[in-house]
Amino acid sequence: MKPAAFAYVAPQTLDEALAQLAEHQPDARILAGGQSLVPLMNLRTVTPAMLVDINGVAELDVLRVEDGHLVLGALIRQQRLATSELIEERCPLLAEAARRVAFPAIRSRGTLGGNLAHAEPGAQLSLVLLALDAAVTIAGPGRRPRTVPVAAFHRGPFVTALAADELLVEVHVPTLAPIAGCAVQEYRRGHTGPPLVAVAAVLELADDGTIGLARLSVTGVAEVPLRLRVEEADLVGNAPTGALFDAVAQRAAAQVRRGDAVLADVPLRQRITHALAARALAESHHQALQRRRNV
Amino acid sequence: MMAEERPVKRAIELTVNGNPATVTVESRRLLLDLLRDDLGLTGTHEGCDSGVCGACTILLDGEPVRACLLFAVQAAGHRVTTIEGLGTEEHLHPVQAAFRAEHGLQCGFCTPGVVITVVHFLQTHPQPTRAEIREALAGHLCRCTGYQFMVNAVERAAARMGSST
Repeated sequence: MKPAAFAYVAPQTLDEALAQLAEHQPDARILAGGQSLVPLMNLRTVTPAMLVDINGVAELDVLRVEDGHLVLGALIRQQRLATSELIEERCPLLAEAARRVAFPAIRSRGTLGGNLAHAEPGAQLSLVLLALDAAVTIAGPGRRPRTVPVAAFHRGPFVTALAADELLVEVHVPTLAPIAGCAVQEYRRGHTGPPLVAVAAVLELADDGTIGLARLSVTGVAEVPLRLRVEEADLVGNAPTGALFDAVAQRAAAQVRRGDAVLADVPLRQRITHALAARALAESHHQALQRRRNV
Repeated sequence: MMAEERPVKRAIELTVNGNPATVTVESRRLLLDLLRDDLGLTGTHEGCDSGVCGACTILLDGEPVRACLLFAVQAAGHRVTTIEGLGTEEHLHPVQAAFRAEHGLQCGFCTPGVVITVVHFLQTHPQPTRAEIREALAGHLCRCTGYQFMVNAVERAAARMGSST
C-alpha cells in the first residue's frame, strides 16, 4: 500500500512551520523523523492532506547545557541521544533509553520531539523523561511558548497536551549528579516496537550509604507512564538492601491498573512490574556504588 | 479531506551512488519506489512498508535509513548509497565477499539491507563481539538463514577489513 496524495511544504523557520500548520488545519500533520507517521501513512491509517516537513528548521536541532539542565531541541535524532558524550555524562538514563529505541536505521531519522508527540504506550523516552522531571516547551502560532512538565504532557495512549496547531520545540531535562546510578528494565514480546512494560530507576547514595535520591517510573501499566513518588519516598533515607528493593517493587506492582486479555492481563503485568522494578533498583544501586568509587 | 485533483509533481535532484539523478515525483513518492521504479535500482527491496523488516535499508549521507519511510522529495540535495553502490559482481565489497564465503544468505531478499547496515556498523565497530553483531542485525528480518552464518560473515568481514588497514 502507498500513501494517499498530499501537499508538501518544507519551511525553514519555526514561525513558517507554525503558520503552515495553522493555515491548513485540520488536515495538516508535522513530518519530523517520519518513523511513526510514515508507516501509518503507508497503510493509509492516516491520510493527511498536507505534510509540514520541519527537518529544515535548524532552530529545533539544538543541544546544550544551561543552568543544570540539558536543553534538547525537538529535532535531535534518537541516535544522537544514544551516542552523545554530553548526554552520557550529564544524563546517562536518557542515553540508555535512547539506545533501546527500535534499531539504528530508525534512530538515524526518528526524533526526540516526534517520539514524545506520538506518545506510543511503552515509549522509553517518555518513561525516563518522566523520572527525570523533564519539561517540554510547546510553541503555537502567534502566542508565547508554554512549558508543560512531562507528567502533564502525556494524557493517554497516543494523546498529549499538544493542540492541533502546536509544535513541541524543546525538552528541558535536569542533569543527574555524576554519582547517580540508573537503569532501564524492559519486558518485550519480540524485538519490534516499544516494550510492553518498562521501568526506569535512578538511585543516588548519601555519604552515610543510605539512599539520598530515588526516582522510579513505569510504563505499560496505565493510560500514561507513571511516576512512582510514594515508592520513591519509601526508598529515600533507607539502607539500599535487596529486601527494601523487593518491598518497594511489590508496592510498585500494585500500581498496575491496565492490562488486556491478549498480550498481558493485569496480574501478569503486576508480576512483570515487580520483577523489573526490583532489577532496575538493584542495577541502579550497583551503578551508584561504582560511580561513588570512581569519583 | 482537502484532496488535490491533480497531484503536483516536482523535479528533485539527488546523488545516487555517486551519480547525479534528476527525477520528477509526487510528494507521496517513497524514496524506495524512486530507487526501484524510477532509477531501476532494484537491489533495495520492499518487505513491509513499515520500517520493521529492514529490507529497504540504504545509506542517506552515510547513515542507515529505511527507504520506505522517506519521501523522495526529502532526499533532494542528499547522497544516497544503495547496495549497487557498494560493490559489483566483478568487484564485491569485502562485506559481500564475506557473506558469500560464509553462506550468510540463501534467498537473498534481506541481504542488501543487511549488507548496508553491516558496512555502516563496521565503521564504528571494527572489532565487534558476536553479541554486538547480533544487536546490529536485530533490525533485519531473515526467514532463511537463522542468522548464525550472517554473524560469522560479519566476523570474517571485520577481520579482513581490519587487516587491510
